[in-house]
Amino acid sequence: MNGRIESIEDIEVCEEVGRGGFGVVYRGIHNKSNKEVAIKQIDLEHDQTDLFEVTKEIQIISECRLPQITRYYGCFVRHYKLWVIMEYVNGGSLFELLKPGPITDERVISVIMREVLIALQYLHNQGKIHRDLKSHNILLNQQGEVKLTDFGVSTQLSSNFSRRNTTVGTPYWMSPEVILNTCGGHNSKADIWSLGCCAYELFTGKPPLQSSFAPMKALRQISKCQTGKEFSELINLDGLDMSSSFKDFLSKCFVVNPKERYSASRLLKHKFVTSSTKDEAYNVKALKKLITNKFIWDQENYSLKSKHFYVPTDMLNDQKLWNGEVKAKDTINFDISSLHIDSNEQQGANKSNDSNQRRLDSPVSVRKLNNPNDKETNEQHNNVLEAINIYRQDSVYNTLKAELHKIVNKIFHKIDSKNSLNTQQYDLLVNLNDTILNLFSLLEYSETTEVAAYKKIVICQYFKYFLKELMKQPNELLPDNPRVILQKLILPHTLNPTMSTLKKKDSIVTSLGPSRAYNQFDEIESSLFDTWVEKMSESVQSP
Amino acid sequence: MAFLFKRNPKTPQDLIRALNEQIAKLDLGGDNIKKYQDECARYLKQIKVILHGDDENDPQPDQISLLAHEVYSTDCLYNLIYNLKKLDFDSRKDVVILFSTLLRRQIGNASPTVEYLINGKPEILIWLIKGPESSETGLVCGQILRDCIKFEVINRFILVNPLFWNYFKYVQSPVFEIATDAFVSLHDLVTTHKKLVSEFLANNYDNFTTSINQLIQSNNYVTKRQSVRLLAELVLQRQNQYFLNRYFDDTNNLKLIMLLLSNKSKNLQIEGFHIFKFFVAKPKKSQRILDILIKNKENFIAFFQNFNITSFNDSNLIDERDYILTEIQKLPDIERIN
Repeated sequence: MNGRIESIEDIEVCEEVGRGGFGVVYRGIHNKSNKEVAIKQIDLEHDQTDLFEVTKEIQIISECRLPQITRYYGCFVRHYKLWVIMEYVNGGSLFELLKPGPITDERVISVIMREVLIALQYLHNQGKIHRDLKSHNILLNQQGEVKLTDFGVSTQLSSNFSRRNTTVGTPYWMSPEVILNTCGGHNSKADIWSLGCCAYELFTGKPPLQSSFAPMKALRQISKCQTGKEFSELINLDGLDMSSSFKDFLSKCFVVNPKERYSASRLLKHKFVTSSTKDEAYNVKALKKLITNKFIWDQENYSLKSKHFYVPTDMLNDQKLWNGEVKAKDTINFDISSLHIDSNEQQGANKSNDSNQRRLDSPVSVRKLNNPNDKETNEQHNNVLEAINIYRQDSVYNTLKAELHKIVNKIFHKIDSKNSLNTQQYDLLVNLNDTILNLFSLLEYSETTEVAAYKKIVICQYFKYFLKELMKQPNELLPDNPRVILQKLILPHTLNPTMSTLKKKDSIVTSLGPSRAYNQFDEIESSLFDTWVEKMSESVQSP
Repeated sequence: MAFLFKRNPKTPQDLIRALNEQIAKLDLGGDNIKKYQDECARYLKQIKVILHGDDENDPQPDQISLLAHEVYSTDCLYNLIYNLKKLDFDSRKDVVILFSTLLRRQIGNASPTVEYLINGKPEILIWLIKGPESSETGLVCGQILRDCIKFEVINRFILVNPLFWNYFKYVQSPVFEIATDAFVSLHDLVTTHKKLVSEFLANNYDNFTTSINQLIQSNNYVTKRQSVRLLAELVLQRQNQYFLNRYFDDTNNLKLIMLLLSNKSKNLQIEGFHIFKFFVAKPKKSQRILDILIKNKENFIAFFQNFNITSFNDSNLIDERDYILTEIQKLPDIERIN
């Protein structure tokens, strides 16, 4: 594929293949050539996105053309997103490929090192530094080719002599001078240290020090080393069962003084690297085998992820997300539909909850137990004791947890499929679900003997109080009381205490038209600016 | 293996001459383009070693001096720029290195390269200015041009040339990298040399304001954001006093900035705010500006009370918003002027 890709018409977007702070990556197909491409969608409206860093980044990747570096095909702006089209590398990253286990064949490591060194030599000759070299950023395709990728933090230097004085990178792969910000800061030699860490990682499965130190401690350990020898001892290089040429290669990377550390061109002549050039067919086969091994491993471990497919977002949706409006609007719609439901039916729904449902089964039963109007507090207590007896046993406890897991997953998928979440929201929701499950732990009370064995589950208590608080009826039942609005937004109509009250005084309810905006900012904004825009476009046209 | 038998150029002069020969052949075209390209690439790599040294050797000043002299006297830079498209992708980047190293070279206070570009071969600069017209070599030209702009005489040369105004076109190129690269050049052209720029903006107020206002009204999100950002940077410069006075007295400008505040994009609202605040904070406001501000007083108050910027974690920004809000509240009410 030689032509540039400059518009959405040129490509077809398929499933999601990755996510990061910057946005989402999809696999795509280039229509003309039928080739696979990777589509990186960068959300330019995201608070953390620096538009100017992004454009700089694009300049850098567009200047790299080498088989060992993922190729850039073009990019374009669509609404608030920048779509960057890159070569699709279908075998995964070395980080992924290492999951079934470390690479035992040194020859394979040697080939990978050679290919990455060619890429580094190319970059360094142009005054570019990768700055975040690690196994995650080295990709393999199914033809057995090695590709360096992700210049997320690479910097363009105006000449080989200039330096950048900022700390970036990932702890275990960072060189001493980068950590300490000495020797004039970052130069291309920092990549070589990181490359050594990658080689070590390929051989042992983990970067140096990861199994013995937390990231920040590791930084301190690395920075303490005065000589490469000290570092080799720290990582117990001598204790590793590897060839002497491999060991020598690593020792050339792990030189503390960057000036004495080998350059990429010099390492390319190292015998550990040159030794693998003889039988290329074997090399390709061995690299392909890494991918096959991972595939088999995935199947055995059921770790194949479900695929998210791309859903186009229009501008309006993007903007709603921005204002946090989508959730509100959706719920409002939901609520409006509820107005058509007969009030008898609502009461009926309430009654049906009177059966012996347990507190943990569903929010409905919790509401039942905590309804402030409920006089049968005894029954509530009995229910609680009953519940305790059940989850005292671990197995039952686990079943409950599994059930909760199912529920939160279901909720998550519902939200994810019905709304186009942005990256941050998606991540936060994932975190929330994790937190909820982690909070499924027992609280212990020992104040009274009666309840010595009285155990509660943190998250259930939380939900209970949450609903209790939420369902308290506010003093004045006006539709713009914030509590009433929150109730409307969160509670399904069958559970909404205020709604049922309001329903009786139906004059108030009918005033809640569908167009009512609950977000103060939007309301004012729209009325304010509609008039502005009108006035201004008039006066701009006829000055 | 033919190249093994070929005599490698020994001195820098030989090297430049050999390079010029190959470029001439490249210029003529023919079947052997690839061969000439490779030759050029090889010579350019050797030139780079003379200029920057390599793993074993440090660069030698006398060698560089000989090389530079030969480059000027044979118009080598012109040949390279003129044939930039015909060089291979990676060699073009070596041309950037040759330019930037030569530009930095100084004899006393003078840069012989700058002198050569201005008085010897200004055609080179014209080619560079037109760089963004080619999507293939636009980025390379942009880099060289920005190295040149670091010198005030060259910056002046470009600003007084009518071709400068093409940059407002180039920044809207459909090729994203070209557009953003042209923007970086435009930015450097009007921000690097403060005194020169203040003079330029004073003399070209109308043209400049019209051009940048057009960019601000672009439908392209990136163009819009970049141009507002550039404008915000210009109004921050005290040296641009004359420009500022006129800009902040122009109701049309205020209207455009108010439109930005009403834009759906949070980031654009903020970029717009950074200009809007000057309209409000300016001590002597013209009556027409004042009229608009007063007419919209209530709207502004409602807007700024809800101008949610906490997610940007910028305490200065919050202070500024609060200050602007107080200033607006101090404005007379609309009844009083009626």
